[in-house]
Amino acid sequence: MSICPSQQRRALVVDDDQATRLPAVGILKKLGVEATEARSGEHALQLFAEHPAQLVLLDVEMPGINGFETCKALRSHPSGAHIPIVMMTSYDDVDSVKRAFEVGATDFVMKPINWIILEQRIGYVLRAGDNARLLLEKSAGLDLAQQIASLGSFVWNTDTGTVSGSAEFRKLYSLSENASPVPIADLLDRVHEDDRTQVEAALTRAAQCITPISLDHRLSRDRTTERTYRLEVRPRSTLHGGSPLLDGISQDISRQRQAEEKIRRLAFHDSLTGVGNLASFHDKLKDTLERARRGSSIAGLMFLDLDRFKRINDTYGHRAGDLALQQVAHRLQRATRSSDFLARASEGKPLGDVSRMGGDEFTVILPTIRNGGDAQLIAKRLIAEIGRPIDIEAAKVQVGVSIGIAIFPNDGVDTDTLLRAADAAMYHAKDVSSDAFRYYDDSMNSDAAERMRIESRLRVAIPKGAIEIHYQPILSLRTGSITGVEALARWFDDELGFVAPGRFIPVAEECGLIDLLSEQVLQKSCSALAHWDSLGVDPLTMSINLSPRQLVDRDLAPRIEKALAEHRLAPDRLQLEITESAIVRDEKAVKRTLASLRELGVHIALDDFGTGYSSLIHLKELPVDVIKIDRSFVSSATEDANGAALTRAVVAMGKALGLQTIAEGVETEAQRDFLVDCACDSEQGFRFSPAVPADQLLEFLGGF
Amino acid sequence: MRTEDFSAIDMSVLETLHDLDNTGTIRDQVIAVVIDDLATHFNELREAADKGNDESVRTTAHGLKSSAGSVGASGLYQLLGDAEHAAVEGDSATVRARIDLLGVAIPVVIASLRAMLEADTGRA
Repeated sequence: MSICPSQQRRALVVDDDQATRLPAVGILKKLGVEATEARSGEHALQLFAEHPAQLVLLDVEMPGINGFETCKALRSHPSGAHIPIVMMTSYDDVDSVKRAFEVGATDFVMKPINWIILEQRIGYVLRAGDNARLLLEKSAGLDLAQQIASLGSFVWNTDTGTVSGSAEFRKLYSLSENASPVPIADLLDRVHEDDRTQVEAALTRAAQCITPISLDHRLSRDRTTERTYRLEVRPRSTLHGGSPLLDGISQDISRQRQAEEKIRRLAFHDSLTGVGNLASFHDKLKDTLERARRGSSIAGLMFLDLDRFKRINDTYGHRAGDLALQQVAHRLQRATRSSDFLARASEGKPLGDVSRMGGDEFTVILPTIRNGGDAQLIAKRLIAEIGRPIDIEAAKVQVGVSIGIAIFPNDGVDTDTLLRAADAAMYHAKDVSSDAFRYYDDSMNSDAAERMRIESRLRVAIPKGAIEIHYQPILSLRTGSITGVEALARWFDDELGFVAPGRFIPVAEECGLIDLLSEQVLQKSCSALAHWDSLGVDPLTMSINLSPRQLVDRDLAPRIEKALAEHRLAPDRLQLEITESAIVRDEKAVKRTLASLRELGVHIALDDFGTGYSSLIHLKELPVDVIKIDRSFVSSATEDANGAALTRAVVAMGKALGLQTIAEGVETEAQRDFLVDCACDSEQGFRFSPAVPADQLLEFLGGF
Repeated sequence: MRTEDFSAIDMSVLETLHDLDNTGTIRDQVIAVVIDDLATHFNELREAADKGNDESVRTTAHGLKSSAGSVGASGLYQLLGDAEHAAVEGDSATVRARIDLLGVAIPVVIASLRAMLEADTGRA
């Protein structure tokens, strides 16, 4: 609250002598001050308690409590601590004067009073009182501001070697609450042991060179937990006895530091997993390559992509996926921490620096490897660590990882090249199998380039419907007639020419275009079948390949049901082919999808039968109607006795399980004869025809 | 100091009082109060001295001294100060001597003050 000059000020005139009170009141009135009279000390204290005054004129010798006691009592009142109190007395001895000031008198006038001088003196003490109050208010405001800002101010007297500080300053450094100066050594004693020398040197520099200083320091460990203060000292312009006084402030910047650290963490760390993010990865890789370049050493970069991670998200939700990513990140960090493992190579430093690139992709920078062999050891360790089951709330899940490894300087001398190389190597590792790692080699570059070209063209071709459907006939080995066809995607691109399905289907899967392509194949195939029906062709079975993504799609069965209904086709006219490799990606989801399809009434064929590692288990557990015997059996059947025996056994097993058998890749009459002899049901292959366009197929079907 | 000096009044003090409100009201009020004080409390002072009550002499003399000072009665102020001091010292002979002088001077001062008041009233 600031003083308003127009505010009516009040004074209390305390004297048992009315002859003194009268002129005093007259003077006050003249000065615009409202005066209240008290005839004794007791009366004065009572009036002051009711209406505090801004000035007190106080006689010493009065009946009852005297002026000294009254002054003391007024000073102890909350409103009386800082008001001017002028004592009036005819005692002219030194002891009385001294006593008056001891009990808190502001001024002292002798009786008989010279009223002219008293008038001037009252005017002065009122102004001084106003200023003192302003000063107090400002000081209180400053104290509050310092308290809010956790900022203390101090003056350092280099002559006496002491510091005098504000209340907040004393609080910050746990100094005595008493405002008296303390030795500078007491301040230094509060500074963290590790920072003390630096602070002392800076203060000395400020004192000797008369120069401002600013530095941060921590508080001594035994005083508090991790607090950081910013200390600034500036020499005062006025000199004091030849030595400068220095003004200083110290502010608790711990929260600011924590906020900065949080910002830094947000900027350079992945918020989900706590490992480095993309931004910090680039910086760290750049630094690592620079150091390797200077030290003529090598460095490695691993690009990791989790296998089967999507399944966790799909099955248990994104929260579970996040928890899994956190576990994986934690394991990666732990596995790349230096221990006995490659201890000599790392010399106690971490083996690798982990970052998350986004999604389920991670990188590990290997700054200390001696050769590619070290990277291999680390890769194996990471695969083993990540492959262990992960506890997610009530469930246990398992993911794999594919790792691409690129080595500086062999595979790239800059960050971008090395990252591209590791990424390409990772894709090749993924192609091999889950839980694999691959080193980068130059051929991968051309593969990656081709993959990019294909993706670029596919992104135009598929939405445009430019992928054609060709149909390969399936013939009954008993009658020789065409009983069905397999729909196969064929792509001829203006720039790339004919692109084999084996090249563009995986790219379509990776870039998410496979869903659209699968839908197009389904629609076009059903449309063709309906068209042939309308032409009077004997009813055929249409085989369509399902992609791994479709196999875990809960909406697949309803979509197929809708397509069949739209083209007025019975469900048993459709045969959906699945591969064993697609099944193992997410067996539970696949079983669910197949059960829905079986319920719908469509047939399920197990494609490439015999090439997977668990064919027999799948035959037992999955709702399969047909097995398509892989071409490798067919080709070997007529080449050697073992091949023949194996093929015969596969066919017999299918028969025994009540399944239809279709032999794939039949190219010769001998192969066909052998299959007839085995009692295999159907054949498919170049012996009769490759996949052909719909109009050409009609010629096979009787010239429609 | 001669006896007549004890009844002297410093007119500059009264002028100052007059100037406080430029009307003389305060001065007249002060004079009236002082006349009353001197008349009333001098008897108390004498009785205290007769009883040998030094503390009562001291406080009464101190109060009268203040009143005397208020109107510039400097002679009275000095005599009362002496009496106050002598009472503190337990010097009853000096107390008695000063009271005797006061007994002569106070009526003169009161008369002078009354005359001033009457002169003012007459002017009014």
